[in-house]
Amino acid sequence: MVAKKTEGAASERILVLNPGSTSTKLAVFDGAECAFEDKISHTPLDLSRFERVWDQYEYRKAMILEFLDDRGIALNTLAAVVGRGGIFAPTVGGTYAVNQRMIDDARAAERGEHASNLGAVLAYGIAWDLGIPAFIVDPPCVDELDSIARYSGLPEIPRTSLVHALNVKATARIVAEKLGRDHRDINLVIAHLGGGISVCALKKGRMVDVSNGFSAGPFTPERAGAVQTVDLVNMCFSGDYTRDEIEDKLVGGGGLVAYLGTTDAEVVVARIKSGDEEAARVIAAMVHQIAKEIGAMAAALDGELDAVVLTGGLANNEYVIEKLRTKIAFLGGVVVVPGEDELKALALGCLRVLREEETAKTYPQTVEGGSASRTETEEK
Amino acid sequence: MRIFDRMKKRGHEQLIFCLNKPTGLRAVIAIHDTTLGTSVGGTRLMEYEREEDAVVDALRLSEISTFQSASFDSDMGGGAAVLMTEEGQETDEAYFRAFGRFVEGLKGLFVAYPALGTTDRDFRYVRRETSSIVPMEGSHEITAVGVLWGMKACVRELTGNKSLKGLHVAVQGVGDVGQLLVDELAREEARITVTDIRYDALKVVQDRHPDVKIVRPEEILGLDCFVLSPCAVGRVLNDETIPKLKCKVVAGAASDLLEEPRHADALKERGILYAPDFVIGGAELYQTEPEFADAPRERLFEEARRVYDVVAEIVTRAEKEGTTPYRIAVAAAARRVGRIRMVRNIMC
Repeated sequence: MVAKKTEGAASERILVLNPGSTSTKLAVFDGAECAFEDKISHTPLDLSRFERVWDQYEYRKAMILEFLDDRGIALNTLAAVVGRGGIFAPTVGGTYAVNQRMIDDARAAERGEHASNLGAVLAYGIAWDLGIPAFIVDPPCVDELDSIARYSGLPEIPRTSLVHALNVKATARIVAEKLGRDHRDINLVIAHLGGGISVCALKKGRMVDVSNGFSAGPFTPERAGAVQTVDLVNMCFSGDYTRDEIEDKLVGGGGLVAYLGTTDAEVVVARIKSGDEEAARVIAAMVHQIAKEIGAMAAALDGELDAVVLTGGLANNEYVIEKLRTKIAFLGGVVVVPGEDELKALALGCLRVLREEETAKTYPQTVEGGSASRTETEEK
Repeated sequence: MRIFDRMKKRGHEQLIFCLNKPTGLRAVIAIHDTTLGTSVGGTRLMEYEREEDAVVDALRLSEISTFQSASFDSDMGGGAAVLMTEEGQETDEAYFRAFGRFVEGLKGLFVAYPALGTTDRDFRYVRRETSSIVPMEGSHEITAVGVLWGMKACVRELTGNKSLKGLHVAVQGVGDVGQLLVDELAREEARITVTDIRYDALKVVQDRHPDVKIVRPEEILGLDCFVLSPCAVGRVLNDETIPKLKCKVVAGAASDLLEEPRHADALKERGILYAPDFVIGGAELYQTEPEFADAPRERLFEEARRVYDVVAEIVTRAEKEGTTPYRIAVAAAARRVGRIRMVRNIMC
């Protein structure tokens, strides 16, 4: 736990909430400065009482409020609450005021049950009682694809965007600042490398093409990524697996863990260094696939890119990053922004609205003609 | 504040102040009128900035209690208790038992039941010190059904049809009664908008009824709707709010809705039909009646539906006499109390 400041009103004091599958991360920011951040852990037994993620609302909210109370954070000093956005309807990137439609979509969970779906309603519930605004920032369902990127080859299955939008968008701003440019003026390929991997082509701030972080792109430490379709169909209809078993194989049980029994790239690298040739081949294959996807996104930008950016937890792994650098060097500058700070990205998104640097968007923003109709243009 | 003047003006009999320093209990018990019988009234627990506000609440609520009993042919007098708390004050077993001791000390003069801010659970502690309480488990359902049927009587007066199907009803406050009222309204296929200062209460409603619309608390009174149903705090109908109303009917479960009696006239001038709070929200009284002590729940619901007849009669008479339902109801209640008072003079 980090506790730097727990007293005093601040007009820019923001409560940040990031519900995950086994914990709720939370922070209090005074402006852009983190005053306090911590994590409330939830055991499988705690959560097993709830049939649906949505049903965990009261439980998680009570724990958050108790947690803040224990640490002397007075709720009436807050200016806003921001939560991690969930898997809602496709919408353009940005900071959104939580609204009823978003709550309805979180409850319905038509695109999937995920703990992050609670972020909006937790923020809304706490903010409502305090009479302050609630926001989400760049949810995973950000969809700004160009219409051409939506063609999959099967009209019934258009390509969609479901990526690590929060970190990708925040990283784009960081890199733009490093380059002394506005993120709305540059083109980037950003690869978020974590348990899941999203590779995104950002054209002047907009994610015009992506590899869906759940079901496409390279294999990852725990996901299979894109597998050959007919072979997958054969597996599905083999009678050997249930739907849940197949899904578990693809997301959670695929990639590094399927080949090597671990999702931890550091462990894999240690095995490589101690002579494990199979581990070296698997990592090389993963790097190979990531590099191919980065190349694909560079092509989506017609080769007009200002930098390739590697970010996410796996970007801390020097072995993986150096291998990757070597393979993509031909594309030009590579910038590494290791790790991800979702709490800070949420706080900064909220702060931009509180400071009136941006106008909060109304969810969902219409996506016209297959591409997002509005995006960063709403920024002042 | 001139307390005796206020008591004289509204016909109060007693005002009792209770203090128990160790538990932090500060209570005001007002006995309005015991002509019809022992005073029975709700126990409100609230934070008050000023002691005067708590006293005023006790006086007003106890008077309403008398009106309510008289309107429902009940043989109970009017009373009310107000428990004053401060911000962050804990109210535990000892706190409620202390209140019970004071009620017990009144030797049956006042019988308490839970109201805004107090629960059946709190009253389990009160009960350990006094038998002068009325168990009200499940009373919210009874009240909600009564409000629904009172609402239907108002709607019939304006539309010729008691159906609420498709009518827009705005509910202010979805606590215990408000939530149950929304359930009833949903069964009636009304178009429902709700608000509350507590989001969790709204979430419970919307999880049950996803089609229910939520608005911010400050928006509800100005909502363009057919029925406005205040089910939260009192005195929401006043000089400031009445000009903003865009409803045709006000029919809610909250007590003490009018800031002053003249506001009933102001509503009429705006063409808004107001169902007197002490009538439409009075079904809970059935639960306090000894006659219904062992009655099956369905019998109580049947009685609650009788609120329709009571409201319908008041509304029709008001229309015929060119006055407000509120004035008709107050006059009828006062007349009954006055008539019974004459009987009480007979020695036997």
